[in-house]
Amino acid sequence: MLNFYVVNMAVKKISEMADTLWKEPSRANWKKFDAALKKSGIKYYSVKFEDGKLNKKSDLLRSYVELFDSKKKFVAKVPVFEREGKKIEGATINLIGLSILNKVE
Amino acid sequence: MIEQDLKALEEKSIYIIREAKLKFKNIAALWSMGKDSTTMLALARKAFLGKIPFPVIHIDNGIDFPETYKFRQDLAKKWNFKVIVGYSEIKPDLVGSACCGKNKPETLKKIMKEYGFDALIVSIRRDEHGIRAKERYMSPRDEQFRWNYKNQPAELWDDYSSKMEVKGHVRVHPLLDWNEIDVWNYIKQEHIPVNPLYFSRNGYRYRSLGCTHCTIPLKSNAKNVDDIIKELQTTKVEERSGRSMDKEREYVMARLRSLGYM
Repeated sequence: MLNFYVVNMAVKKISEMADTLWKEPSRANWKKFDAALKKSGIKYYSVKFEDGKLNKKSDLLRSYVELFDSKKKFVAKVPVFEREGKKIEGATINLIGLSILNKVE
Repeated sequence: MIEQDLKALEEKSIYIIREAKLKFKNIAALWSMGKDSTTMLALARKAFLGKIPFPVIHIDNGIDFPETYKFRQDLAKKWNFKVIVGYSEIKPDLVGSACCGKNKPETLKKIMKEYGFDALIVSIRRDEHGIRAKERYMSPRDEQFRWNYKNQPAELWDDYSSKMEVKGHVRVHPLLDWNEIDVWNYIKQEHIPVNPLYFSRNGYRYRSLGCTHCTIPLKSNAKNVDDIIKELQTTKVEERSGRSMDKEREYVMARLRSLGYM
């Protein structure tokens, strides 16, 4: 029961932090997310594109990573970049430790 | 797919790597964490008694696979070599071929200038793409990384030119003669670590690795190196069919390489 509660709390925290990242994908927020991710039990990721397209920058910035737990259950989605001022850099390095899901749609 | 004599390929590649180290003052190697460039590093270790005597450059656009970053960390630690990471910013409206064609070479140019490298080892193979078949083992680039493939030095009797007509650098290609299956046979023979993305998961695997946004997995059940070799012996699917930039207009790769794409 306690274990279930701990896992639920970790998942809730990741979901909250994902919301924060969408609002402000700063380096500091990514660092906090990285630390929480390691304790969360999240195992898999999958990169997705809005409308399934990648033609221009706006598509890239609207693409996202879906996160799944060990039972391949969806947990949250996070952006793929970090923004410091006007500078935008990719941020998938923060997902080290996860495995690609290669989920067939 | 034709399988060649691994001993002969290895000897020639080691000879080219040693020649490059001897002829150039300041050399580096590009590493994408893919099978080819990792094999090249294994050859360099063999050529220099277990050490990689030059820095290894990774041009990082920040959207590589997490498995690729983990592989970079783990192998650099295990084989004890220096990695120079060039961070490539995501620029407006530069995705797909434009991202690799402009962002990455721009970052590489900065690194080449900062460290003063006069030669760069790149692990391309002739069988990957028609335009790569036009490369020499040692191929000059000008200061703007431009490649004039119509004006390259002849390479007769294993004599490779290190002289430059213009200011720039020389690209060294020790794996030019290898086929995809040779690389996998060599990985098997030498027990070279590889990026786990090459192995099948849920019926899909990556056959050629780029970043998360320009690479798609192909249907495959190959879960280990032996399975991959078996698959390659019979497949009719092109190696880079999962790479988006190659699917664009026919001349895209030719244009990218002439502009300095790796």
